[in-house]
Amino acid sequence: MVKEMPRNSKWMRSYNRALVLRLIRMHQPISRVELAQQTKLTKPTVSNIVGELIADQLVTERELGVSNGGRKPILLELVATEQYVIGIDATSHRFIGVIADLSGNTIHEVEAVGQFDTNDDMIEAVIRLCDELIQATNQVGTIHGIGISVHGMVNPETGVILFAPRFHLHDVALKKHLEERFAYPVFIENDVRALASFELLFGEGVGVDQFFYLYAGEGIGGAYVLDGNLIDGENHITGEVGHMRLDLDGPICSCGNRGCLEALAGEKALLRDFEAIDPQVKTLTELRKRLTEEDPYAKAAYHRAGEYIGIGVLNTIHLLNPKRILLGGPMFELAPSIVNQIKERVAHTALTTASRETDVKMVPWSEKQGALSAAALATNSIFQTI
Amino acid sequence: METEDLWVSYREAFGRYGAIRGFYVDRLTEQMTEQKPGDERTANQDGVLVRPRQDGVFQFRMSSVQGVLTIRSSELHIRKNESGYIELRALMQQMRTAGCLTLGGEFYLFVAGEVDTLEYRLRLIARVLIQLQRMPIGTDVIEHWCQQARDEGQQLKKHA
Repeated sequence: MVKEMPRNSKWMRSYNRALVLRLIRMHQPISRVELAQQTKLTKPTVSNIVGELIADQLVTERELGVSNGGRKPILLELVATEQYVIGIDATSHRFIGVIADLSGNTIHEVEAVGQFDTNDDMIEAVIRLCDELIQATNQVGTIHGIGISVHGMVNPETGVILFAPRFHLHDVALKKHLEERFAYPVFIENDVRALASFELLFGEGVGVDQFFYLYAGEGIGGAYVLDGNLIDGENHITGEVGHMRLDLDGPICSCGNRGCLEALAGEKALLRDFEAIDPQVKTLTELRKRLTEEDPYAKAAYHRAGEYIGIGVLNTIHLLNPKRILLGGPMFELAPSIVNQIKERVAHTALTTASRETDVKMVPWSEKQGALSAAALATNSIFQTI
Repeated sequence: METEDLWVSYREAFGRYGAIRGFYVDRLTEQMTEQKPGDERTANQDGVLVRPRQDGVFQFRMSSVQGVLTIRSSELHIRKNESGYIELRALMQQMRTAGCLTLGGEFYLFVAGEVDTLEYRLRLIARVLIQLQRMPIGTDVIEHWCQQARDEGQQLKKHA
């Protein structure tokens, strides 16, 4: 659900500021004149906003650009150094934390492993990691915010983790506790939605108003971006493409239904099916090893999963008609041929000629991506928060 | 009034949609088998029907007891003084710590009156939870967990 804000003059000023900052980030180096042309704001308004951004040390002026006959324009770009955001990937008992700059580069990285039996345990573990990351800056530069990426259901507005399945925790008021402890704004988001947020800011979602991010690994999830905003939904389950049912009589899913995409094509499902072929393969690591060793059964299992994910993507296109589909996660990294299967299915079976040309792209994914994506939530707030 | 058909009773209690799994345990052999609707249950078999859910909420209905017991997995450490269920919470917490607790589910236990003890119910629930997670955990470990849960229950009752 997109947060509704009152549209008054204060809102308009904040909106314009965010717009200018976003354009500088996307098109840097850029002149004030170009900003005025692209935003359709007056030159004095753009100059005022740029002045504020320079004073806030978010933007800097650099060497002169090419003149079209008059004075050479001064170009603007983001301040790349000493402007930080903190990102923590809290999707497993092994937390990964990063300090990143506003361009999404990692400055410092730490890890912490812990057992969380209660909400307080988890909050304390996050606080300890934040402390460690803040100390790593040696009090140099500005920290703009803290982003936390968590698995499960999250209410991003209140910053409450509604249910974190791997920890068996409910109603963790993480944002409230962190904002009481630290003087920075805190952003909490579901892990897949955070990955989409990273793409929106720094990856294949830059400048794309509407896209769907599909994650495939042990489980399958998704995130929908519309008009540059992550869509949350009334009950925070928008994008749960893994629980799209594809088979009335299919295998039982952890959600209590049958034939969900995740129960058919998630790696956990592949492992379940593979055990019937080879009972020695009991872990995902073993299954993935078989695939890299080109085991024909493992290849066939991933190929079949690709067919199902392709149908899931096709259904998503028919439901949301996004401009672009981004595919990320360990499954695509391990079996990139799945991407081609999906592209082929869309190109041949989507409803119309135009929808058959929906842009389907694989985006890079790594273990650290979660923490960087969490950091992007805080960065996003600078560029988008009104 | 319970009907003779477990599956009908289950659906009356928890609704007719969703994927329900049935686990029947033979009291003589201790063998647990997964059964489908319509499969005959022998006189020696007790059953647990379960529909998984993934919001961390567990609901238990016992054929011999009225009402549904609801437990949230995040509150397992809170020992509510509900008779007999301190032990269930203790057991589930141990399974949570061991990483073999499912994400939630709606359970219906059908146990013959003559064997319907807390001890027996705990063992049934533990075995079904393990089966749902498909984890290679031996009967001895399950027995140990159940024993610990009973000990904890007794300790708490002594000090209540």
